[in-house]
Amino acid sequence: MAAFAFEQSLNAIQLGLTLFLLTAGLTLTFGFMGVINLAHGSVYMIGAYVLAAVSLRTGSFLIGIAAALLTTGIIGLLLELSLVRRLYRRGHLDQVLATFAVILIANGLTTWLFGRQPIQLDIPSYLSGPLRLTADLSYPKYRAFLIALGVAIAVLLHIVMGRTRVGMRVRAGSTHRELVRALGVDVRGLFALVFGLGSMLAGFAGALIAPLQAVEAGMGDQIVILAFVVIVIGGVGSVRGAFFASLMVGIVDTLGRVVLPFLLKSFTAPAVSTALSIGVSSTAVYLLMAAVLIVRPAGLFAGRA
Amino acid sequence: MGISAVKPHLAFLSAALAIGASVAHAQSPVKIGLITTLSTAGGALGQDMRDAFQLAAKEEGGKLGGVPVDLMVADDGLNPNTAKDIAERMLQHDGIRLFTGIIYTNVTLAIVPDLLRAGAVVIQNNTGPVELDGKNCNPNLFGSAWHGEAPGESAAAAANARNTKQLMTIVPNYTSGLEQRGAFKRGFKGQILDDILVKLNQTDYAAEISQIKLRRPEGIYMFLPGGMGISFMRQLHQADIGDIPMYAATTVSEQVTATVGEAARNVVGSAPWTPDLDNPASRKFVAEFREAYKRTPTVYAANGYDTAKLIGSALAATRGDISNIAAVRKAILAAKFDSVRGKFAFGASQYPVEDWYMTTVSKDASGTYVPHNAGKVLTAHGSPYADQCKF
Repeated sequence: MAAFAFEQSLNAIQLGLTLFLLTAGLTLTFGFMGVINLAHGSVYMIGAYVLAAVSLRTGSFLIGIAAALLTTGIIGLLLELSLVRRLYRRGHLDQVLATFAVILIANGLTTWLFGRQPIQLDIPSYLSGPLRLTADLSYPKYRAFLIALGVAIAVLLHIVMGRTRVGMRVRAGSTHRELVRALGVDVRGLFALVFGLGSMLAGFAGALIAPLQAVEAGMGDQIVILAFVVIVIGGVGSVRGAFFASLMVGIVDTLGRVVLPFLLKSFTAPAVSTALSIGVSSTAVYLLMAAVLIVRPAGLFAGRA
Repeated sequence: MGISAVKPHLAFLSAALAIGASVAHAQSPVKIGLITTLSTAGGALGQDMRDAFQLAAKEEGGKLGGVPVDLMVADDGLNPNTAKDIAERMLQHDGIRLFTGIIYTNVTLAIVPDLLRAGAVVIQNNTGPVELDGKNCNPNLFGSAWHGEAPGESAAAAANARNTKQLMTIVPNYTSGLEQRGAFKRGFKGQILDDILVKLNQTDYAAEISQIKLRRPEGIYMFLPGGMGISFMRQLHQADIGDIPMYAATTVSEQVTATVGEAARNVVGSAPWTPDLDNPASRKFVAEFREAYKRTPTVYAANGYDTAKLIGSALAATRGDISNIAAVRKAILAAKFDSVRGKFAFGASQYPVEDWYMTTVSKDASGTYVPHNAGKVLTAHGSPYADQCKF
């Protein structure tokens, strides 16, 4: 049972960290530029497809990852220059409509290029299989790899945001945009940079999750909703908020799927407990969001907007 | 999304029209409405079914049973409202009275009652819903694939055949998932250790797999169609859990095992037809399908092909006159065609009475993982609700 609890804790952390990769970029574009970008999920999907296609052809997972980072970074830049740039001064409804159109186009093009069946992708042999920790304790190597990478990216972002000039400008821009502009910072260029980097992070998340999931058109449409929940909990624009909120969502979601059915089974009739636990566990994350918003309406780590 | 779906559709229509035109002096073609799902993530099944149906018509140069047919293909986008609009247009504007092609139960339930009320004949070429079986059967509704609970029942038969003492189930929390699980549990003779319910379209199964690891079941009954099953198999393969058979009925196709590779090696499927089934009609179908589409047909393709042949047999018997519904019904019920399943017969509620086979997955010569027929698990199996059907 101890091994089981440990394993589920790792599951919760891994889910949270993977979610963080996706939300870190989204919270920056949302907080810094005020743009609701639904197409973030499409970039996540593109990252997965590029990894799958390139690593299948070259036989190298690492080349696949590099190609996914490069492609999604460039796509992010192009998206900012061609479309998102025109949306800054418009309302949220226009932003939702325009970026939703990007989702439809991306899904259509993906189906056209790769077909409707999910595509083939294997975990590289050195990351495949279980990592044996003790006699009765093991964890999938690939998930351990995801945890390590998630921590590394979180540390890297912490340093970039807290210790570098660019990070300082981005942080300042998300709370005091006009002041930053008045100081002579090229805000346009900074926007494009942040959007490109944010897209690259989304592509990275998609590429990393690809070997564990079905790589298919529309795979990013669902998870982007969860990413917005994380951002709202963490406080719009805060990378630190996104980090802790991602972990919270990972923990609450895993608890809701494991502990809740178990507890309810021991207290209520089977039919009742099944209906109740599936109801509560599928809404657990949203209940968390509601609870956080009651206590802190602007999210956990909200800056002064 | 619709781009690739529309192209072959138009191409075929123009081909069908051209063929139709050359024989128009002999007989005006019988219109067949093929309402199916070609787009969205669920589009692969409809595509297979349509391709096989068109193959059957192409064999005869645009005819079925010697009668020229005008096949009108429409994509419902897995949306019941879209399907309703298409059905209305085909009934009123095109005057179609013969329908098939529907893949998903929510579409079936949305439009089939309307079609039947309008006096049309409907051949359901995928899972026939329980809601239109038994007491709610209809003389003009036929199922050419299997009755509603057959997939779950056949998975149970496969688990029983392999002497499984205990197992766990995993299904998404929606109607079909719960129905199939119910059918499985009624048929399974061993003990159910635990039932896991997941969200529809869930992508991460880490928490569930840890539970499975803890309970150490001898097998898993899974009803996780499409991408859900792929994600689950890939993730289970990474866990320290050994070889656990996954009883998946018809949800894991040849394409899926090829995509998933080694992680699909423990899948035990079940179906009334497999590509390696040894009979002349099946051999011919598999060879022609591979030749035409460069892929191995799935059981959904086989259902489409059999449906076309079934319609062909009825058109031959009625000489293409489908205005006399009683004669059409009689001809369909007789089912005089060479089924790829070897034999074909209807039960009292007009769903097939058929044999089911178990499949296991292994590597073929080219290194691709492919399901193989591993023997019969159900003989002459029909709907459990057939005797409640009274016309």
